[in-house]
Amino acid sequence: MSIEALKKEIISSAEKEREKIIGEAKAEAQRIIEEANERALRIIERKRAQIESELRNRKEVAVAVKRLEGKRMVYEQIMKLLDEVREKSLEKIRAIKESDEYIDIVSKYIVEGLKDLNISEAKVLYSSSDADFFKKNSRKISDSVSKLFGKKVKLEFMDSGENFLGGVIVSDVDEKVFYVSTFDGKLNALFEERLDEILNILRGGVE
Amino acid sequence: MSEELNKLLEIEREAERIIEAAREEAKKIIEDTKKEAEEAIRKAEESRFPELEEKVKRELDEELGKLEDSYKEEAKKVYDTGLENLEKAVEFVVKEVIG
Repeated sequence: MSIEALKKEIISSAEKEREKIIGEAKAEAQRIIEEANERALRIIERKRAQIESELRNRKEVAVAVKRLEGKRMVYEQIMKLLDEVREKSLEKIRAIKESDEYIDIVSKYIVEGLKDLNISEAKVLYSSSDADFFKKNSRKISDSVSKLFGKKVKLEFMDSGENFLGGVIVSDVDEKVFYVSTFDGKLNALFEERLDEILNILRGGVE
Repeated sequence: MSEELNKLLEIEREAERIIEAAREEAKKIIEDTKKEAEEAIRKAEESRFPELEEKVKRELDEELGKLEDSYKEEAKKVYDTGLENLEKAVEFVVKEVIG
C-alpha cells in the first residue's frame, strides 16, 4: 500500500472515530437535557402544589378571620340592643320608684325576705338615695307587709349607707343572715342568668 | 525508508489531532449542555405563579366581600328585629325585676 493510500485510510478512520465521539457526546447531551427537563417539570409541579397549598391555607385563615369579624359585628348589635333594654328598663324602674307602686313592690320584697329567712321581726336596709321615701312611708310599708304576710311583723328600717337603685336588703335582728332583694341585684341576675330569654324576646320569640 | 516512516508518523499525529479535537469538542458539548440543564433547573426552582396567586386573590376578595355583606345584612336584621321587640324585652325585664 502506498503512503497516500495509507494516509487516506488512517485519516478516514480518525474521522470515523471523531464522528463516533461527537455522536456519543450529542446523545449524552440529549439525555442530560431530557433528564433536566423532567426534573425541572417535577420541581415546577411540586412548587405549584406547594403554592396552591399555601394559598389555600391563607384563604382559609382569611375566611375564618372574616367570619369572626362578621360574628363580632352581629354580637356588637346584640350588645347594643341589650344596653338599650337595660337603659330603658332602668328608666321605667326609676319611674316606678316615683309612683305609689314602689310601696307595694318594697312590701312584696320584704315579705319574700321574711319568708325566706323564716322570721317575722327584721331589719330592712334601704339605699341612702331612698332615705326620704322610707322615712315617709315606713308605716305604710309595715302595714302592707303585715297584711301580705298574714300576721303582724316588726320591721326596723335602716339606711344601708350604700347607694343602689332600689329595693331592700332584709336581715334578722342580729344581722347574721340577709336576704338581698335590690333592683340592681335582680337586674344583674336577670341579665346574667336569663339572658337567653331576653335575647329570645329580642329575636321575636315568645316569652 | 526513514522518509516513509516520518510520513507515517506525521499521518498518525494528524489522526491523533483529529481525535483529540473531537474529544475536546465532545467535552465542550457536554459542559455546555450541563450548564443549560442547570439553568433550566435553576429557573424551575425560581418559578412563580403570579397568575395563580392573582386568581386565588380575586376569588378570595369576592368570597370575603360576600361574607361581609352577609354578616352586615345579618347584623342589621338582628338589630332591626331587636328594635321591633325592644319594648317587649323591656316589659319582661321590668316585670321580672319588680316581681
